[in-house]
Amino acid sequence: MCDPMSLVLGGLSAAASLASNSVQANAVKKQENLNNQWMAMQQQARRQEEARQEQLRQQAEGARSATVQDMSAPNQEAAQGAEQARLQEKLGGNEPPPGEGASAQQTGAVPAGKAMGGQEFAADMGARVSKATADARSRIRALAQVQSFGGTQGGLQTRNALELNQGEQGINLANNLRQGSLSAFSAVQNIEPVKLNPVSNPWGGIASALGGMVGKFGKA
Amino acid sequence: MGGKGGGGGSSNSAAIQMQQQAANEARYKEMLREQRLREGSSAIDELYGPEDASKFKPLFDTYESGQRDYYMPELQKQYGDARKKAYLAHAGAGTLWSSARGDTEADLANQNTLNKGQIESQIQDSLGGLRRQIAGDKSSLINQLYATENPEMAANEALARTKTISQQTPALSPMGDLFKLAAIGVGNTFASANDPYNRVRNPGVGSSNSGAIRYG
Repeated sequence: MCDPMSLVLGGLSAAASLASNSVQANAVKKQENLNNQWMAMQQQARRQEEARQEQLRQQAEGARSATVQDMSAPNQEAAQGAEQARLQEKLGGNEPPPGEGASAQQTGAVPAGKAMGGQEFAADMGARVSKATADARSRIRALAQVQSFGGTQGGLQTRNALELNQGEQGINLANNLRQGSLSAFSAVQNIEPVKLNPVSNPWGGIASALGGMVGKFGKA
Repeated sequence: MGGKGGGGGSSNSAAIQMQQQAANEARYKEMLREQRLREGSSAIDELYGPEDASKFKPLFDTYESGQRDYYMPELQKQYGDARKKAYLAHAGAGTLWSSARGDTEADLANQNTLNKGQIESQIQDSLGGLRRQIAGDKSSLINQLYATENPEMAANEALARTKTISQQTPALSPMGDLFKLAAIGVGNTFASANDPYNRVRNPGVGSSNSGAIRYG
């Protein structure tokens, strides 16, 4: 039969063991709660960062698509046409030519007061000058057309480079802000979860001691 | 059963508090940085863009008219000189009222129109260069803004650059001879030399061996 002392001590040891288990379970639960809070905080921060990144990405995308739109064939064609018209005006290609029948005096071909060759001569010279001027203006218009593709103020070479540059600036700004935001987010990611440190559990010690005593009495 | 396993103490909470504080600080600083970049960009945009707007129009107009005022009087002078030269050459050759004179005048008028167009084209090219330079300056300022993240400095620098641009001098070059005159009177001299009646009137030296007709 069992010694009554051993039974008492054994019962106490079991009770202490139960108490110790309960304390441990509480600690685990507490840690779990803290872990969950940490996870929720990280998830929220991640979602916020994703939204911020998406907003800035859209900003960059807006700049990019605006540039693509500006660089589309119809827009380039329109820009080139407008520049061609402007250059034709500036280069003198649109000036009205002196009429075919204009006299040499009218075209400025004969110094004033020195027209002596008669009407026929003056008309002939006027016609020649008119034709030569018209030919030159035709070449000037061709020059304006070619120039409108090049490096003039609104020429395609200038215009396209500036459009690309502007798009790049918009994209770079958004990218810079994205990088900055990511680096701030990495500081949030570095936050660790709260870790409850194990502390001495008296119930565990008591249960162990009582268990030892039960063993001694049992042998005796 | 062990003597440990309980919980409740949180020895890393102070460290976590610091981490949280650092994260908040990082976010706040990033917010300020973003604000500074946006402010700086706006300041630069306000001073620079768009280039076609009225802000830079007077500058482009001055740049354009300055070059035109430099080149065009010279063109007009050279055109006048070339016509005067042609007039005198035709007068000397006796073709003043001939179709050859009309051809010369037409040729000079053609050259004048083409030269005018070429000069204007050169001016328009230089305006394109000015526009690209303005855009380049703007890009540099934006890069500086990224490096310094100082909107005030960016705005001041932008203002200084726009002032420098308005002091920009176009590269004016001497024009050289713009008009080329075809030889006037050469054909006439040749025709005179082959005109038998002219030879009779002007026998010249050694004309006996030249096959000229002699009378008496």
